[in-house]
Amino acid sequence: MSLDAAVAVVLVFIFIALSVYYVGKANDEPLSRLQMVRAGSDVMLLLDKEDAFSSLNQDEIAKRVSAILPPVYEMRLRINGTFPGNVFTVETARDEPEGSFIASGERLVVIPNSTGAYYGRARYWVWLK
Amino acid sequence: MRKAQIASIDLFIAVTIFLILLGVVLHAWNIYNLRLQDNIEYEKMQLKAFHVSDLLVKSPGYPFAWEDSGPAEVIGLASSDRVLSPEKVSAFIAMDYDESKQMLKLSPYEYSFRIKQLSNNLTSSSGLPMAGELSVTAERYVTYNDEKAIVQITIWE
Repeated sequence: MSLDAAVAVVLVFIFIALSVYYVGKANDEPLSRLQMVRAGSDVMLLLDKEDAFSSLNQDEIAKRVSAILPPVYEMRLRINGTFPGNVFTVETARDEPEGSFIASGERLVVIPNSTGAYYGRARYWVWLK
Repeated sequence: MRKAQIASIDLFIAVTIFLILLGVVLHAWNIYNLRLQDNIEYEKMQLKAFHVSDLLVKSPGYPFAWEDSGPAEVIGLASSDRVLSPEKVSAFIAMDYDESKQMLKLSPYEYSFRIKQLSNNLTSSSGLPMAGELSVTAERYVTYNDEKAIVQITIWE
């Protein structure tokens, strides 16, 4: 009888602990996530408006990204398009972190060139340093 | 010791443990309830802050040239997506605080609005200085006067 009670109490405490853990995890800094999503979108738009992609020079674009991106964030940017090489990756950080939140988004970009324009799809990932 | 005495000691211990556990559970329940209420309030403020920031930096407002043509029905500061119009910003800053708060549907909260350069130098500001206990700040990256800038909306209660 007392063993049954002990098992029941242990199960209840495990259940309560799991509930508390997952409730806490669900409320894990929602504002910073919203802010990250918006920051990524804003930075991409600013880069696009100032034709930052037109050079198709990875170092130059990375510099521009670093100049705008808030210092608390890291960003990785990949552009696929009709330009020579087809895939173009800009990174301000080597790898995305594992296990933490990463905001991502996509923007269609038109990159003017001497013969007309390249059309590209820019994907980006933003995360906290 | 007699059986009846042993039984009452058992009962006393069991009731004591039960009451302690009940107390702990009620206390935890109360704490989580308060946290939940704070979280709900905080999330409401976050959503307001981001809705207002979206409205201000993405929309020109209504009517389009509200800064010239008279009272706005909807406030927006953008000449195009995330490019702020200096005229609209000036008109917004010159607006009566209560009127602008009402138009942004921010009641019962207060707000402050700032535009900063990327170097953190303050360019423009309006609203009330933060004086509450709970606050939320939304930051947006925009072009203002042909320079990159940060728009900050802080909402508090």
